[in-house]
Amino acid sequence: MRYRKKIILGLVIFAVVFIVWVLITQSGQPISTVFSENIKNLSVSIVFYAQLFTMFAISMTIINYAFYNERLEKTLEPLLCTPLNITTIWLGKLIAILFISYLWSIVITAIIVIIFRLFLSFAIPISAPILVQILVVSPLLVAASVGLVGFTLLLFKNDQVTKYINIFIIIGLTNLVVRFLQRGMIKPLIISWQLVALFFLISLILIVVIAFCTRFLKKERVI
Amino acid sequence: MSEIIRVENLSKKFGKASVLKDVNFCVEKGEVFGYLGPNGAGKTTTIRILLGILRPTSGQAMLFGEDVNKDTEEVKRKVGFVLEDQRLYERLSAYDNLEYYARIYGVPKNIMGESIKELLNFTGLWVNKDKLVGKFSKGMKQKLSIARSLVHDPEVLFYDEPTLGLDPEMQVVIKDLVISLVKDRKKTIFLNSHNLAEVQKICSKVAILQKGEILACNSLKKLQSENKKPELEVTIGDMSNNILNEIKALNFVINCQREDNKLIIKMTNYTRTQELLRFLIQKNVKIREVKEVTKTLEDVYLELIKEPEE
Repeated sequence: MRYRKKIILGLVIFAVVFIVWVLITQSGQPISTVFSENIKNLSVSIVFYAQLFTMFAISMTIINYAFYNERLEKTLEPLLCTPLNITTIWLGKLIAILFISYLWSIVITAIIVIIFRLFLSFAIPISAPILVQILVVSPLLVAASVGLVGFTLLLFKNDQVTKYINIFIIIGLTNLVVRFLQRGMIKPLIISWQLVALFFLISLILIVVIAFCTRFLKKERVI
Repeated sequence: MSEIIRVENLSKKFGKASVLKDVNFCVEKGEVFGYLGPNGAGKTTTIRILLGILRPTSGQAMLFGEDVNKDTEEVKRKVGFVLEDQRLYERLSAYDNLEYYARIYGVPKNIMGESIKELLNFTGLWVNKDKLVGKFSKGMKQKLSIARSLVHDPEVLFYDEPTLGLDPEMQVVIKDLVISLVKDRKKTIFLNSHNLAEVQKICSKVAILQKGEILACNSLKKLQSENKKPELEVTIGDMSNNILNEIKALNFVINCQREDNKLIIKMTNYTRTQELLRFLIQKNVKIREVKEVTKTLEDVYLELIKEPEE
């Protein structure tokens, strides 16, 4: 029951942040005389951020179960006695979290597309870079954040320390996203191939670096 | 018999606290090794080192001839364990818990289902296979953790206080499960415990640990005979209390107690037995039976544990 409340609270917070975020991205736009132009920009922004935020929201909600609670409930120790090493455990949890959140994000994105199609009779004009960003790069970016948070949850026994580090990481990553999306925030969302490539590279490097760092985690420290 | 576990000069410190000090022992294939000691003696630390969770400060711990620090996959596959507090997934069913570990250990899919069923039957949990572990009693959880330790058919099992906190009836059930593991499945078992009766019934070899140091390590029989102090139980007829005092006054008698028609006499050594019996005959004491007192593991343990403190 306590866990359910936490999940619901987490999802509500992320929903509020998402709505505010979308409103901000649209607020700088001049009131267009052409209604369809506004709808077009809004729809692309909604699809893009909905997918990203859903993944973040679900990942960050279940990450505590996968990493911190496992240590708290002492089920991590038996896992460490098996042939699995820490990197494999970290990667397994990361893939599981991503799989769940990716599935949900795709469902939500599809619902938004269907709503626009059915109720507004409007096909969202998703460009090729945005499609690649949604299907490949955003999940990779979320994977990097989840991997980093998971790593800190394994590294530090003190939950408070971990929480502060996680907040710093999330704020840092968000700032990074904001900076890259600066142009998209004051103008309609623009995702170019260059931006997609940059996101892809940063996410990939982060994942590889964190995966490498997990090799140096000692079991004695993790339990 | 081939050696499965070898521990040489093993020491472990947590900060300045020394938890294990130059511990040495070995366990051979098919043995049930009882690792005894009071709380805080270092028993769980030893198991954690052998399972590769903790690293020793100095010395070596070997499993199947390989240093446990190397953390090799091959060795881990030969090892099963029951840790303190079971540590099972409470939001999963009994079956799912076993399946999860079977997958981790790479149990082939074609035999996985059958093997899990067999283990749940062995531990008497088949009827509860779909029940969430969170709803299990402590005894059921302990049975399930024993089943989990066997899911990949390991050669050696590390059991850390498997009967701790269980009611007497469940203790007997768990004890019988462990005994059948030894007899029917020919497993090598490293058993951490401070339940002396349990160790005496199950184990073939025993090490007694106190404050991180091994006080004794030998086969149960040798340990009992080595630590046997000359003690006789003499069944007698009538005898006055004056004679009892005279016995106590003998220079080779340490202590003499009367329990109904029995005299329990502690002596300096057995060579004086004849002298003692002659004395009793001289005093017209009717001797019906004389026997050496066999020490239980509890006697040996308590004597060893007491001595360093004194």
